[in-house]
Amino acid sequence: MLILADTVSLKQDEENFMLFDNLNGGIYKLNELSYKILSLCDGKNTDEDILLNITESFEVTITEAEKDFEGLVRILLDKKYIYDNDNEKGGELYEKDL
Amino acid sequence: MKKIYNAPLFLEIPAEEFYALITE
Repeated sequence: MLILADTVSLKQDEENFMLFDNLNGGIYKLNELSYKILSLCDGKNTDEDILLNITESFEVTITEAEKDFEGLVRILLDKKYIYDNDNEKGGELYEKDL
Repeated sequence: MKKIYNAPLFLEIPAEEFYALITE
């Protein structure tokens, strides 16, 4: 499951949605959807939970929502703004097995 | 009532633009 890195902060102020990279000072403008996705990355919601939340809140097909969700997640994982804690646990187990 | 869908935005902005945004 996806979890937000503790080096980033999310802020919402009226119509503005922002992400702050507290490590290198980067500032990112989000919209309601990307803010919602990041807010749901709490280590408890599965990808399916997040997608269901999106399709229930917005006029969008599951196919389009999934494509956009995966695109955003790929960027965020690459920047280490979110982590997949399933993979991390897997890594720890793997190291113990060696 | 569902909201109109816009693809997720993730756009890095320069600090100056951010400060302009909050001061306005």
